[in-house]
Parts: sequence; structure tokens; C-alpha cells
Amino acid sequence: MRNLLFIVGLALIFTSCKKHFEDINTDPDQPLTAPPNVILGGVEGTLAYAYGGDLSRHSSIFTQHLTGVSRQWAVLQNYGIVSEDVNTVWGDNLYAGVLMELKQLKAAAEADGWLHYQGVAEVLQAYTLLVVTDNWNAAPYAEAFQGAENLQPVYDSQADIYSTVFTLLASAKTNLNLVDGGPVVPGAEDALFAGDAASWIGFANFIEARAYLHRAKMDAGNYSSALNAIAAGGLTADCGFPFAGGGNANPAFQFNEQRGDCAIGSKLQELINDLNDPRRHLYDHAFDDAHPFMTGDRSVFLGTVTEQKFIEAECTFHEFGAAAAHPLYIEAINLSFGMVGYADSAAAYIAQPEIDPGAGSLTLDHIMTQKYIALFQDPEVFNDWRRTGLPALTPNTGTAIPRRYPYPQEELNLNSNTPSATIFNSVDWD
Amino acid sequence: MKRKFLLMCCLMAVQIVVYGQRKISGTVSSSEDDSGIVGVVIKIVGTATGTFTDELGRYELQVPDGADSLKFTFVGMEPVFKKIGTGGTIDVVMEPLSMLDEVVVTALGIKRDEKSLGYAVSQVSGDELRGANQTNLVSALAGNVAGANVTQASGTAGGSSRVVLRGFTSLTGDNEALFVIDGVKINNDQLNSESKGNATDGVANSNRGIDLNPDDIESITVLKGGAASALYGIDGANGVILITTKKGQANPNGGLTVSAGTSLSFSQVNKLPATQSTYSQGSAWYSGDGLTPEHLAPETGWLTSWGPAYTDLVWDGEAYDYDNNGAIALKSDLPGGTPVTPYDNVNNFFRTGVTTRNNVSISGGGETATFRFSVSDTRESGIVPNNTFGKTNVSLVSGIKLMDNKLNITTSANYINSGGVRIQQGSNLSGVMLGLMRTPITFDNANGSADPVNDPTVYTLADGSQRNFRGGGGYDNPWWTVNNNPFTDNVNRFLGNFQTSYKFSDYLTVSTNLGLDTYTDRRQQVYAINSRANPAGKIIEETYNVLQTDAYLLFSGGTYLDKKGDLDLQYQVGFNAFSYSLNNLYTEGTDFGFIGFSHLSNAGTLNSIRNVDQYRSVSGFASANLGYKKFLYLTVTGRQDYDSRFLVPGEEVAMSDIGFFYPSVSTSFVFSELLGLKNNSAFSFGKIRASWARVAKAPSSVYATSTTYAPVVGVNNIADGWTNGISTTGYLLDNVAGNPLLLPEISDEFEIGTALNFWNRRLSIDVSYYNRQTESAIVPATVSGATGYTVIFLNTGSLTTNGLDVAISGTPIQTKNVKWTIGANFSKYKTIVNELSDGLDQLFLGGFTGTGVYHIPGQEFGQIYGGVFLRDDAGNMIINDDPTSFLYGYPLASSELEVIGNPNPDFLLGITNRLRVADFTLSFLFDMKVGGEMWNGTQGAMTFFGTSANTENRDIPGAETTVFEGIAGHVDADGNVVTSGTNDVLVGLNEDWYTDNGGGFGSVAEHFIQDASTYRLRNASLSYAVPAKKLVGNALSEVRFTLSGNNLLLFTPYEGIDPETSLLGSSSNGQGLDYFNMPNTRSVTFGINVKF
Repeated sequence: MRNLLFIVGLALIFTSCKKHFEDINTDPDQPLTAPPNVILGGVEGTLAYAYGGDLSRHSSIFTQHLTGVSRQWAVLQNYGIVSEDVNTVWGDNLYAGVLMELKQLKAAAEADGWLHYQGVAEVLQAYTLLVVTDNWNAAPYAEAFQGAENLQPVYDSQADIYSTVFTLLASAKTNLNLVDGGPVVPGAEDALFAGDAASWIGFANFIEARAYLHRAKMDAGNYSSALNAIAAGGLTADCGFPFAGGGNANPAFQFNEQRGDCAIGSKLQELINDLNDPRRHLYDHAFDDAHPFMTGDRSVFLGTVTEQKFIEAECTFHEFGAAAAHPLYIEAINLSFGMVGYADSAAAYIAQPEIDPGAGSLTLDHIMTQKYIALFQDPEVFNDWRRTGLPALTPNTGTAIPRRYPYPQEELNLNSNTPSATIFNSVDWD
Repeated sequence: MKRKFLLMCCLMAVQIVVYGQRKISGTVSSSEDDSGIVGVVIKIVGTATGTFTDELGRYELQVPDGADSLKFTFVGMEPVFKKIGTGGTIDVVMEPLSMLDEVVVTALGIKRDEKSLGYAVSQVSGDELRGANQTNLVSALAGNVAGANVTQASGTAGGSSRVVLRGFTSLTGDNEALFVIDGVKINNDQLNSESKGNATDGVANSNRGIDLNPDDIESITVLKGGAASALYGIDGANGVILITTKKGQANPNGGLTVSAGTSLSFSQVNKLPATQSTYSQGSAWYSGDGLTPEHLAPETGWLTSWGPAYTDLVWDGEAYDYDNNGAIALKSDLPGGTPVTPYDNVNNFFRTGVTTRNNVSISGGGETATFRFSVSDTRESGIVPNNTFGKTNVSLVSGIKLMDNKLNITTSANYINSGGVRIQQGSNLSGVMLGLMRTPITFDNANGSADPVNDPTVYTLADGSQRNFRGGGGYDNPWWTVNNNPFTDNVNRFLGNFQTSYKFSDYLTVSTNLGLDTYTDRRQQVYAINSRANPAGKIIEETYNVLQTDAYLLFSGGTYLDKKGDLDLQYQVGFNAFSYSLNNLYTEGTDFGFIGFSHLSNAGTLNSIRNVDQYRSVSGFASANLGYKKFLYLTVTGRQDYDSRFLVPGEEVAMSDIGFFYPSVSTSFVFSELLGLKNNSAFSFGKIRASWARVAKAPSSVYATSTTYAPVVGVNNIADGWTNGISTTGYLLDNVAGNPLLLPEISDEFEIGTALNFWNRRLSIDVSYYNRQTESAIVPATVSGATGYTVIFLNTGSLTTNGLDVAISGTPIQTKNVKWTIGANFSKYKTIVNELSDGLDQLFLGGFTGTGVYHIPGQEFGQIYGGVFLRDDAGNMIINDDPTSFLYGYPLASSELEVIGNPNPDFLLGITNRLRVADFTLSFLFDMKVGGEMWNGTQGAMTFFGTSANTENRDIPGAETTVFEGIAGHVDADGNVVTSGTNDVLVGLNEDWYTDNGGGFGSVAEHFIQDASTYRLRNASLSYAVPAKKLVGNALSEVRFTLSGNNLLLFTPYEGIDPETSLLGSSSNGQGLDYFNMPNTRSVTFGINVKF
């Protein structure tokens, strides 16, 4: 009797088990796969949020676009940036949030022959890798993104990453130039260019120009390469991620609104005051006030025609001299005034001899100073200053200004391949 | 009539058969105090005929011819047999059950002689629980159980408590004990609405154990070790709190026993961070010379209190939004102004909390059927204005015995309604303590109102903006947040079980137990427009539905294996099926259209998320207990679990991949039996015991075997750690990667112990030593972002726990009128994290990016990790020697983070005393947690803000009084420390320093780590029971008055609030953080209990 009961019980349990368990451990609320068009918007948002958020804030303190006034940011003001400070931007945002997603997006697009998505993914990969290597020098890429399969990917040298960037951009342009075989082409979910392939190709050329320019400090031949890239068809309109305000507000706006802690930087303030720059009404803001310019619905720009024109001006200055660069320089200033809605004030501003010394007397200092003022809180300013030392900055404290970001604490702890570096070391092109 | 009707309703048949010829009467009393015992069952041996004693212990019984003897039985007393002689009176004195044969409830509700157990168990009586006067049952265990560490997350009404038995079993999984009521598992989750998992903000949510009604509990057995809990398999790995509820008690003459109790408590804050009371809101930085402190008024939005001393300030008396006394000016500028007197915002804010508890229970029945019905209600208003918690419990337990008592059916049904209003706390711009403790002494949050909580003008300006010390920016005025940002929750819960058993013979009883625990938790969180945490306004409407079912089929029995009866066997073989599901529907509305209507329909943006967590397990288990001559015992158990949490989506279900076996073996050797000490009065009992067990655990989260895409909206919000971030449409691959190869965590535990009794139980000692080794612990390992993920689940952790539990109890005095018992529960354990995963030298458990709780290999569980000052190899601080630096002469911060504190106590000691003198009983529990540190982030921030008492003796800017001890030096461009001899630079302890690394917002946290040892009088009570003699002829059979207090005394070196607190809540493994946590309370309670 007893034995029988056991056997019946056991049999019942084992036969009903499989049915009992099916799909129980499959998350009913989240899919295991997603198509490229669903991923793209989030990737662009993450990249824009990082670029206009932490990357902008940290670099803007170094470039004196911002002053850290309070709390943690007062410590950063004195170059107290520690490895912990960049964990999120590196790990959550750039690597896991952008590059890993782009890898998935690209793989899915590639598998289905969605060429334009593949091209878009490659452009964004190139852009992001450039941001990573310009701020951190060597960084994982070739062995990265393998999850538990490789917990400690090796670091690629900056030279390797730059060649990856150029390869990606070339491939992107090829793919974007082909007729897309996919049923879905990038469209409304593409917040940057609404799926316009020509614009993406222009952005690819802009990124290429930026990349050459960064390395011009090592090799002056890069100035002409940058000009060639733009000549191949650069940006025709600003590439901005549109923030909506409210619950989807611009990251700098959110920071000012939710934390404060930062005010306008000393060098920027000095320049806009000394040069009687009408944009001071936009840029200048006291600590913890509502920012007149960084509004909730302001876009974060990943690349602008203004910057592109300044690149042209700078490269032309080096390649063809001051006179050739002069009209480009004036045009760049006009573009920058137009971008903030101050087009009418540009002429009077430019008329000042400090701004326009005449074609023959134009110096690199003029160009870089105007670019510095135009690219308000843009991380690119940090690249420019490291390349050119212009405008000249006095350290907030001590004798040196940081020339790169520290590797994140999590990288130092979890990846034994992480090189050692201080924030005062230079990246390879610097 | 009414009573009979009630009985009928409950389908209870009461049958007293009377067919005797002779009347026997008498009194049954207790040997302990000579008082009569009510409810003693008296039966004529060999028949079903019997009766019960009345409230004075008296009985009368008709005895038929031929009856031989009477049996007297009562819970907790040795049964007594008496021959029926020829007389008409039989008086009986009953002895309490001797320790030798004490029966304890063990795994699966099986009652066993304690002496036969190969592992330690602790028991807590219902009276002890109720004596603790806690709304949260878990809190009531504090100090009463050796090996249990109970931590209360906060002193708010409805706050959670955590109990961890014998240290930690899992690195990041649940380490709290499993709760089992009458054989079935119940839910003790703490569900957080905001910041799930790492709640440094939000409100103090309840752990669901709070729903239990202490008045319904008969006793609690704590199964601490692996061998004790091995039969519970994968969910019992942390030990088990076995709760036995009160059942109906048969009553003489079919009457009912009614008990009722009522109590009233008053509570107040027991400890607060100390504040400075001299300096006003302001700063020196923007004054003309950059040195003279300048008062900055609220409308400037200025945040800190580094302004002039209030004695230098006056009120101008003009109408002014921010102060009824007028705006502040320098006395030198306005000599005729009213001198400023500082405001005491902190003490004006907290109120006296009031708790009322009422309960009534009706119990009755007879031979065949019994029932118990109880209703209880608790209403609590907290020390923070508008914070409330309440619960109502309704319980009906019925038991039926049929077929010669062979068939037993017990049903238990409990309905619970609980919930309240909770207030924002912690790291949160709307947190009460955050805004309160930062408020300058020159700003009155209440603006002079006598009733600020009900006066909106206190915290709202005419235009609807907020009146706070930062001109509407910064942090919420506490009066604003308690009124405008309430969190309400309402839990409706049904808990029940249905048990049947049929005893075929001594060899076989078949029993089933079906348990159900289900609740719906409806929540709403509102942030009115202009609330600092959500300036555009926000509302969360959220529902949790939790459903647990637990079903057992059990075969058990016992037999002697030899003819002499020396060797006996008891066995259990059973099956268990458990299922859990949580269905969470979360809807969030932001950007309200207009002020004053905080409702979903007024929200500009709506987001909604559903989250379903579910798992199931089926198990088979068996246990055999062998006893030899009542002195040598051996128990062997085994359990096979199949658990859905190891299934991989999309893969064929392979039972072998999700099934795991856990054995245990334990033995007990009662050496006193062998040595013939049974009747030795000095040393009456001694045993040694040993056990080994393997227990296993599933991943702490379901779906850990796969990686999914999640919507950006609400789940993968794009953010940077500083700001709220954004949501766009679409999906992103989760940054947290699942692992299809996950295996269970395995813990092997070895325990050895002894129990000794001296002088007829006047002194008992119980000692256990245990060692537990956990391998392949599941680690949601933070990984290099370059892997493409931020976290991957890996089976790589290892941890070791060694511990010692000692329980001593004694009765130094025992006379007819005086009895003094004293007990001590000592617990010491150390859990060392041996390994996390290859290359992983830390694991974040919770807290902040700069200061958090981490596992560090080689260190104790959950270390506080954060920024430190830069030191040379000899440990000297490096003092900045760069004269151009802003912080020349001040210590430099290291760029590396280090372990800065250990939150684990060295040992715990609870000392209970119970002194009964005649009808008065005085009892108290003195409780110590010695050692263990806490990060006083509150003080750190208050130091930055210049509101903390440690800034009272600040240097006036320009004055320089301090030379930091250390070596002068700096870090060169290559990151090397360059020193230049002993530091001799005179600096000031001033705004510059405290708002940098001298305060809590710099990169250094080590100087805010403090000893969190506590020595407290956890509770004390004095009760008076009206003597039974005075109640004769009265309907009442028992009247008891109790005056008690909780936390009446607290001694601690900690400089903040009562350090029994947890920023991350009770369900987190990250303990030891205090960042504007809500303070704790002390309370006084007056209660009356009656029985009739």
C-alpha cells in the first residue's frame, strides 16, 4: 500500500513536471530579440545624453567653459576627478549603452541585408569610438562585446582605434550609397537625420574630418586630409539630437535644474566679457539659476556646420595661409551666431578689430578662440585646446590642466589589461 | 443562545457525554505558583468522556461504574494519571514539562524531543513576542534568539525589519530567513516602488512579515542551521522562522473563551544628529573681501550655512515671504532691527507618535471540533507628521477530529488589511531629513505657525511655488513634502492553509497541507508640482499582486525496530510543490497640467510598465530519525528540488539540468543518560550534537538565465547618475546579462554543539559552533563595460561563515511568590567573502557611486567602501604643499577608493530578565550590538552645509588655527607622490575646507565612518495580573495591566541617529549606510488584557 502510493506520487510528479515548468523562466514582459529600427532611437539618445551630459561637463570644467561651484563639482573644479567619476559614462553609456547596442543593431541589420541600418550603425560606432579614444587613449574594441566569454578584453592602441574608425566610416559610406535591400529603412525613429542617407554620408565625412584634425598635431599632413573629407560632402545641417523638455529634457538643463553645482567657467566668461560678445546673455549664468541657453528642449549637437566651418578655417590656415582662411573664419562666426539666433548681431561683433584683424593678420589664436566660444560646452573644445593650447588657459589649481580622463574605476578593477594613466598624461595624438 | 448560534455557525459540534453515576470534583493547580490552571483536560482513561477545569482550576466529572483512572493533560505540563479511588475529591498538582522531554516543532511541523535533535533550535513564545510591543513581528525577535541579527530599517510607522540567521549564506541573494506558518511558506518580501533594488531614496516600505498578528501566534521556532532547515530545500537555505499559530481550545461546558486586549503607545524620536546653533545661511565666497561671512537670504537660493553668527544679524520687521519676522540684515547696517534668534527646525518638526492596538479573540469547542476567531487592529501614527500605518487582521482557525481522532482537519483563514501613508526619505530632494537637516538656523520651515502640518501657507507662497530656504530650489521644505508628496499603500492579503491527516496506524500517517498566500498591494506616490524631486509633478499608481501556493503530501510514521524497544525509527517521506508569482503594474504620470490636482488624468506624459516574476519548484524529500535507548539519535534527510529558475528560455526542459539534491545528517548523544545522571540534582542533563548539511539556493532574480531587450521608457531610462535622464521610444538590450549555464549556490554547513542542564533546570546552557562554506555563489558581477554589459551573472563566489551561538538561561530565585529568570543570547559570527569572480575585486551591493557597500574578497561581508585621504606607505596623510593651490595645507584625497568601514557587529548579546513578585511581573531585554561601523553620510553632508554640530567651532575665514598632521607633498603629473617633509602649514577649519574634502561631498568619506555599537534597553515592562481569587464570581477570568517601554535607553558612540538603521531597507545586503535616514523611536505603552 505504502509503496504503491510512493510510486504513484513519484510518477505523477515526474510526468507533470515538464509541463509544469515550460516557459516559466521566460520573461513575459521583455523580448529576447529586437529589430534594428527599434534599437536605433535609444542608441542615439544614449549617445547624445552622454555627449551633452558627463562628457560635456567634465571636459568643460577642464576647458573653463564651466566652473564647478558646489559639492562633488567643486572637487572636480580642482581637478579632483577620480576614476569613479567616469564609470557611468564609460560603462553604462558608451560601451554597454551605445557600442554594444550598435553591435547588436549592426549584426541584425547585416543578417537581414538592411544596408542603411548597417551604415548608420557604422557611422555611430566611428563617432563613439572617436570620443572614447580621444578622451581615454587606448581602449578595448577588437576583443570587446563578448559578454561572459571574455570578461577582460585587451585594449587596442589609439592608432588601431583610429584605423578602425576610418574603416568603419568607409564601409558606412559604401553601405549608405547602396540601394537598401531592407524592408525597413531608417525613418522617423532616427532622431538625427530621419533616415536620410545623404545626411548620414555627410555626417560620416564630418567625423572623418574631425578625426584627421585631431591627429594633425602628430602629422600636419592630416590638415589636407580633413579638408578633403569635407570637400567630399560634409554636414549640410547641424546634427542634433532633439530633446523635448519636460521628462525628456536636455541633459545639461536637467543637471542645472536638478543639481546646480556648476556655473559659467572663468575663461569663457573673461572672453565673452572682454570681446563684448552678445552671446554672454546666453552663456553667462550664475550658479543654480535657470540657464538662459541650456533649455530643456535644446538639442545636443553631435556635429555642427559651425564646427565644420571652423575645421575648414583652421586647416586652410595651415595649408593655404591666413588670407585663404579669413573668409572661412568670418563665415564660421556668422554660422555660430545664426545657430543661437543672433545672426543680426554678428556683423557688429565681427567689426571689432579683436575679432576681425583683417585677412592678413588673422592668427590661429583668433580661429581657435572663436571656435572655443562657438562650441559652448562641446566636448570637442577639450580636443581643440589639447591640440593647439588655444585659447591659453591658466590651471584652476596647481600647474597643469588635465589632458585626458582617468580610466574608470570599474575598468581598473575588473580588467587587468587596463593601462595605468593619470589625468595629466597625454593621449597618443596629443 | 447567542453563543450556541455562534458555535453552529462555525460548524463546531460540542458534545459532552454524561452518563456517570458518581460525581468526582477537585482542583488542578500548578507546581510553579500553586495557582489553579484553567482549561486542563480531564479524561476518564479508556473512554472519550471528560471535562475541563474552570477559571480557578476546578472541575466536576460524572464517573461511570468501572472507571479506573483519570488523565489530566495541559499544554506545557507533564500529564498526570490518578486512580479513581472511592473518595469524591481528586486534587492534582501539575508539573511543567521537564526539559528532558521538551518537545519542539521542527522542519515540516514535526514535533520532536529536543534531546533527539542534532542541531540547535531556538524557541520564542507568543508571550515574549507580544511583550516586545512591536507592530512588526520581525522586530520582536531582536535579542530573543541566539544567532539572529535583527535590523530595523527605520523608525517610521510601517518600516521594515530584517532577520538574518547565523550570518550570510549568499553574496547578493536574499539572506533573510524563510517564514513558514503552520507548515507553509509565506511571503516576507519588501517591495520598493522607486529605485528598485538599491533604494537610497523613496519611502520606507514594509516587509510583508509586518502583516502577521503577534496575538495569533502561539510560538516561534527558529531553525538556524543547515541541518535544521535542509528539508525546506532551496528556499530554506537561510534558516527558517517556523510560526505556530494559536488554535481553538476546547472549553468546559461548551463555553467560549474570550480574550481581549487593548494598548496605547506614545513614541518620540530617540536620537537625532546634533546641529550647530550659531551660524546663518550664507557664505564668505561672494563677499567683498572673500573672507567675511555674508548672510545670503532664501531668495538667493544659497544652500549652505557658512554665514555670519546670528548674533550679528537682525530682522527688519517688514512684510517678507520667507519670514514673518522680516528679512535679515546686518546689525551694523540696521541697529534698530529685532535681534535674530535661531529657529529650532528639527525639534519643531517631529511629533509624538501614537499607536493603538486592539484585539479580541474567541475560542471554543469540544472533543470533535474547536475554533478560534480573532480580530485585531493596529493604528499607528509616526513621529514624522502625516506618517501612518495601520493593519487589521481577521483570523479563523478551526479543527475537526473525526473517526476516533484518526482524521484531523485544520483550516486556517486570515484576512489582513494593512498600509498607511509614508514619507520620502534618504537621498532624495524631497526627503524629509535631507531638507530638514540642511535648513539654516535663520530659516523657519514652519514660519512661526502653531500648526504647520495643516497650514499650507507655511510651505507654499502665494504663486503656488514652494516656500523653502532655497527660494523654491534645492530641497523640499519638510512640511511641503509631508503634505504634497505622500505615498499611500493599501494591502489586502489572504493567508490560509488547509491541513488534513489520517493516521492509519503508528506506522503510517498520511497528511496534506495546502497553503495559500496572496495579496494585492495598491500604491500611490504623488509629487505635487514644484516638489524638488519632480518639479513638473509626478504620480505613480502601482499594483502588486503576489500569489504563493505551497502544497505538501507527507507520509510519516514510526516503529520500534527491535523487540526490546531500544531502537526506534521515525520517518517522513513527502512531496512539495511551490509556486510564486508577482505581477506588478506600474503607471507613472509626469508633467501635471496645473497645480492642485495630482492625478493621472492631469499628467502630460504617461508611462506604464508591467513586470511579472514567477517561479515554481517541485520536490521530493525523505527523512529518517533513528533513536537508540533514548540517548543516541541519528537523523538523515535528503531532498531533491526541481526549480524553474534554472530553465533557459527556448531550450528543451531537461529535468536533470534543473534538479538538485541536498542531504543532511545529524546526531545527538545524550551522555547524561549513559552516565546515569538522570536524577542527579546538580547536573541533570547533558548532550552533545553534531550535524552536516548541504543546502542550495537559486538566483535571487528570476529570468537570470537569459538577456532581454527592455523598453527605454521606464526600464532602460537613459541617464548619467546625476540626473533623472530621458526616455525615448524603442528597446535596448539590457546592460545586465543573463547566463544560461547558471547552477545553484551550494552551502555546506557543519555544526557541533552541546546542551547542559544543572540543578533541575535552574541553569541551562546551550552552545553551538558552526561553519558554513558557500561555493559557486551566484554573483551579478559588475564587469568591464567593454564586455558589452555592466553586469553578468556568474557562479563564481565563495564565502565562509564561522559562528558561535550561546544561550544561557537560569532561574536564580524560585519561591512561591518570587521567581526571577534570566537569559542571555550571545551570537558571534563572521562571514568572509573568499572570492567573487576572476579579476573582480569588488561587488557593489548598494549605496552611492562614491560611498557604497561592496563585497571585497578576503574581507567580511558587505564592507563600506569609499574615498580616503592620500597617505604614504607609512600611513601618514599627505598634506598639499602646493602654495598656489586652493587647498594648500589641507590633506589631499587619494584617487583610489578603499574599504573604510565594516558594518558587521563583533557580537550580539541579548539579556532577558523576568522577575515575578506575587502578581507583578517585571521584565526587560537589554540588547547589545558591539562593533560594526556605519557611514554617517548625514553628518558628512551636514558638515558641508555647515549645519552639523561639528562645524560649531569653525574658524572665521582668515583665522588659521590648525596644522594637519602629516607629510607635506603633492601628486606630480605622473601620478607619483612627491613629499617635502613634515607639514607645518597653518590653515583654518572653515568653509573652504568643509565644503571640499573636509565635508561629505568631497571625494573622501573615511572621516564619516563611525562606530555603530549600541547598548540599549530594548524593552522593559511591568505587568500586574489581578489575582484569580479576586475574580471569583466575576465573568472575567484574567485581567492583566502592562506598562512597557521600548528603546528607553540607548548608549552609542555613533554621532547621528540611532544606528539601527538601513538606508537601503531591510531586504538589501548592503547595510551600514546612513544618509538622511529617518530617525528611530522610543516608546511607552500601556495595555490591558482580559479573558472571560
